[in-house]
Amino acid sequence: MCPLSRKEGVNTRDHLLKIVRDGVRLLDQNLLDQNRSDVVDTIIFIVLLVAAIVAYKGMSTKVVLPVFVLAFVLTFILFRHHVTSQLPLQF
Amino acid sequence: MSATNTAPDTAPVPEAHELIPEGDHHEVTIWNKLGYWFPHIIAVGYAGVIGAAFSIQITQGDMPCPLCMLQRMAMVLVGIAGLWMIGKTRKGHMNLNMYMRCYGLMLLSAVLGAVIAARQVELHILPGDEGYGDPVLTLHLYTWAFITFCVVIIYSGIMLIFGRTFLPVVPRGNAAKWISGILVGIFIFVIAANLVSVFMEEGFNWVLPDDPVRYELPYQLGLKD
Repeated sequence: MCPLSRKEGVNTRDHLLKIVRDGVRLLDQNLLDQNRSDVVDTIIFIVLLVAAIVAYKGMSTKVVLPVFVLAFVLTFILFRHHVTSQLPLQF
Repeated sequence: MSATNTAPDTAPVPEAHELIPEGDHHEVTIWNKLGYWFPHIIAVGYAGVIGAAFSIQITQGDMPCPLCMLQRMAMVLVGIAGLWMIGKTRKGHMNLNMYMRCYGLMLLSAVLGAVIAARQVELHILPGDEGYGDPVLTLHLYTWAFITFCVVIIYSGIMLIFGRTFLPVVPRGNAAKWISGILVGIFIFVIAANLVSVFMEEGFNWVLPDDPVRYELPYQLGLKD
């Protein structure tokens, strides 16, 4: 049992899943809002730069793999947004 | 029908670790040295591709669209998988397990890149559509990107088939070390340059506009009207 969720009778796994679900929903809502003052592409390139540096330094799997997976997932989420959005894509 | 072969199998069943040979202690061949340089070629090759697209962006003002930028990200991910292999080999921590992990990541990144590039190809697949940007050698950049991702997928598959044959080993001598450092430096520089470029292009917007025509950051900072 997670100490934070013990009172509600929710186990750790459900608690973490709820946090992840809320995070993805929040990210998705914000992605659709063009006026938010944040930068997704820039953030992804920062993560990629960090991943490249830790990878070249030959750091352990525990360090490199999470950073790599984070960059991969963020890229995928951004792609998903550009594919599924209702924006009038014209090239 | 009852089993007819009831003779006990006298051969001892091998343990799992006996089936997987250790990758670090075997005779070093030219293939192992090539296995060290191949990830360099992938990383610097993609640095060249991104650099070429970057030069078109600067010299001709051909701004990258969101899908173009996503393809660059996938190319960088492919290169990073190679970089990890180089880093681990240089530290002497390369083994068969690590080798497979790096090529697995490279394969997945190339698949993601191919999907993104294929999406952009599909957007311009209708007859009469001139495509986005100027073609290079009769094909558009996203079509070339799709081809390169397919090449990386095939390459990674082949490298995974051969496994221990191409297990990377650092060549002796300072020259190899310097060349490796320069090639990796070029790749990391391209990532940093793209970081600056995308920040200039995107500014403080959440995502890139569909059809970018200018660098947003100077306008948002009030440097341009």
